[in-house]
Amino acid sequence: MSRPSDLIQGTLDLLILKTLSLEPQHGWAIGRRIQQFSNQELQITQGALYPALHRLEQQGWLRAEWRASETGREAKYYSLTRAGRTQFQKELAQWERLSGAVGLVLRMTPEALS
Amino acid sequence: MNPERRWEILLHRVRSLVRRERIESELDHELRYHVERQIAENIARGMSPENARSAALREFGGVAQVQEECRDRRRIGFIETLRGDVRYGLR
Repeated sequence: MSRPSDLIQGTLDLLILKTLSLEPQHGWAIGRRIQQFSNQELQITQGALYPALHRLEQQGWLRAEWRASETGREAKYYSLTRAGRTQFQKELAQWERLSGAVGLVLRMTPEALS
Repeated sequence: MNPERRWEILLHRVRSLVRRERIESELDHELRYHVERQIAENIARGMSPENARSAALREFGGVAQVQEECRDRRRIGFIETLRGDVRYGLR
């Protein structure tokens, strides 16, 4: 399984968009959820996560607001904009096409070459 | 340049600075929240407060570095917007 540092930027975007498609969350929780749901395989470093969140917000796919968090302290919660939801669907479709294609190539057999 | 124009430019610069400072401290606040949550989790896992703190900060890498990257993204975004405006203006 690839390490988080090997993930191309687009894949991290997809993971963030997916996580936020379920409910608004702050950065710390986004990283936690990705880690938990990947069975600890994907540990997104803060150095990758926050620049990605800021970029996605810049691009208009996320909006952010400060709210009281579960600890009582304020945190910056991100949520998907409508454009973000559209983008998520687009990137999800792209990912499924890509991973399908990779799967096909990986199933290549010597017989199939003749 | 007339005095009014000069004043306008000065006001604009001051507003940009204040806005930038607000963004800077907001980013700082955001990253600090993350580190605090990590420290709390480390303590919950049995680390001493001392070790919890240094482990969280170590894992965080350079806070300054993350801030710089976030700043870069915003700068790039601003430049792209500016380019768009200029293109529009020239039409």
